[in-house]
Amino acid sequence: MTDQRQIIKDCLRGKIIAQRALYEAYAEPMMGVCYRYTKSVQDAEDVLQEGFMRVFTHLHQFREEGELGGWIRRIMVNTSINYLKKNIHYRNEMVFTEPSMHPVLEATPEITLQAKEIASLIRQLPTGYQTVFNLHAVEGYTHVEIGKILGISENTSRSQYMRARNLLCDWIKKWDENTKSENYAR
Amino acid sequence: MPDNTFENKLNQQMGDFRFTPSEAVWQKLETDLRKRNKRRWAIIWFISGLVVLSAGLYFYSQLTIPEAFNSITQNSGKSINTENNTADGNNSTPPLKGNNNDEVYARNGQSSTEETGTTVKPETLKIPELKNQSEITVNQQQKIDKQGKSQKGKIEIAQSDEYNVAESEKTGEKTKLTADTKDTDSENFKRKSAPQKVFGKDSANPAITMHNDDPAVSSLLIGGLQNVNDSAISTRNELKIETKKRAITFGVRIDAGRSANSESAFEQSKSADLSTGPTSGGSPSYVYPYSQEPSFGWSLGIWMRKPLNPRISLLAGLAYQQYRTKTSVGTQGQGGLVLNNGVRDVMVDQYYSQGNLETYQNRYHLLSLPVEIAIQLNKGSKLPISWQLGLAPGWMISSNSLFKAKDSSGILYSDKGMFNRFQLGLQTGFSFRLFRNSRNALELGPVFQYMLTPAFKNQINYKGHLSFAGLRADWTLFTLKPRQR
Repeated sequence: MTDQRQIIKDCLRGKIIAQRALYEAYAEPMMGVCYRYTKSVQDAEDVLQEGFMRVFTHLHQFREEGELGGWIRRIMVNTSINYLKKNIHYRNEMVFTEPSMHPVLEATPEITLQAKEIASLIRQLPTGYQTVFNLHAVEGYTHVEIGKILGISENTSRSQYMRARNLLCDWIKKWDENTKSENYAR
Repeated sequence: MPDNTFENKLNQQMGDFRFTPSEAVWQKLETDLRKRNKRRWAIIWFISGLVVLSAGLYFYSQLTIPEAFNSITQNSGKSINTENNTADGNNSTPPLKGNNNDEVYARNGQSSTEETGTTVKPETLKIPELKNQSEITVNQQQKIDKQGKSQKGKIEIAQSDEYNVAESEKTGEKTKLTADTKDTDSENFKRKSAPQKVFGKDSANPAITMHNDDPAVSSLLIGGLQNVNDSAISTRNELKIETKKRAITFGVRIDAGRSANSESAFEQSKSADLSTGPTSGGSPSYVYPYSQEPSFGWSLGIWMRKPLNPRISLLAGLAYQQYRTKTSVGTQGQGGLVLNNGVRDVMVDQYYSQGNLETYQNRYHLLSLPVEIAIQLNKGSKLPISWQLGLAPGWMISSNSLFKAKDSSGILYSDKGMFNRFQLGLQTGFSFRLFRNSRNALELGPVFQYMLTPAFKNQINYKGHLSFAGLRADWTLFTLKPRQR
């Protein structure tokens, strides 16, 4: 804790060594966050760089009441969403249609996959689904909050999430079946 | 009851998910950070340099003025000629005879007697070794009364167009150079006439008293006394030099008053139309009423002033201004929120809902370079009143002012990208100069400033123009005089 305080102080003084230390401490988990929201590693790295720049610029606003990791994570999520909205490639894919009726929740499979495998499945979702799913299932935002963040209604967010969840469950089931059949073949 | 097992498991696994970025990310980040640090240091060095330069100029002025006075004291104490035979042979004007046969020699081109006028009692510098007093007064005022008793015993050399020189008066052991009355031998001089020479006479030890009511005039006196050393005063030439080279004064400025951010009349009417409700087409064009109430504002700066002529001067400076306004807000929200400000989507961490739960202070930090003309309105010298008018181009360093989201949420949030950084202000005011005889004069008066540039960018529904009305205090720190020939 004392080390972290010292690092923050040195970062605020503009010491590159301290900034490097902070970056190394949080780069990997934050890259994981950026990776989930984007479609390519290159994009994820761009978001990570922009996010850390914002971290160092606004570090003086960090109150030590909370956890630094959580604060940085929130900045990374915000930067990721901003990146999606700015980047024309993602923006065109983020089309949210008003739901006519809610999809039915399918049976939940047991998750036997590793984190990286789940992350790569999430990234295969359409960008709109992917964003809503990440914000709700992983980050824990409510649909009201997601609605405000993305400029959509609460119902749209809920509907998008259901579709994303059903799709992901379907893929997880297929993945499990494939794995089982491969094991059986061996 | 929804099944959250899936979400919980997913959350656990994703919470620990890590992915190693390439080294190129840090390299790019490091380059950006170094650039940012350089920019920050450049600002720090610039401000430090400005402070050091100001301090240096101040101390330089403090050192040079006493040296000049020392040299006068030494010269005058040794060599002022008080002999009776000091009449200049070249004078075309005969000596003026006073009551005690002390003589004042002067040359005059045109004579003009003024019966009225006021004399400000100046401060006196005495040379202690000398017992008897010969007094020379240098006065800045336009006209000098010859008859007033207070002028008796002095020779007054006005910096203005007209002045009088009279004969000296001897009373007992005291010898004085005296302003003459109308019915005695007196002469009035115009500065632009032929050079004048003044000699005091006493066989005993004369004392010389210099009346100096302005630092700028003291340099005049320096020139005059040095010429006394050579048995002749050529004040005319000195006056000419002083008229051409005017001293530059430096000082600090403090403003305090009420600052506001209001819409211009045109924009008010436009927003009033919009805020009447949704349009007939049903599109969400509703603009919620939004206002910022005036609050305390202040500014601090440094300035330099150069007189263009005796009544008009030019002032330039550097000032930091902090204008504040108040906005009523509801509850505070935390967490990432992406809002559309009419131009682009912005992400906000802190925001407020509409309401009257608490008052939020909007702060605007500006750095400006005011340039203004000051015109002295009255001829009187007791309380000079000036009118100031000028422009203040500035840069909005930062602001935490709240905007209203353009969507129907009506959320109030801060967006640094929506400010017009460049601000052009128009300012005017009046000032009353107090302690004008002091080296550190104080000017007080009301001031009004209006920013011609809108505070917010055009696309937002509330542009807002910053304004300020309050009291201004200008305190003269020091004066840099032009070099003597």
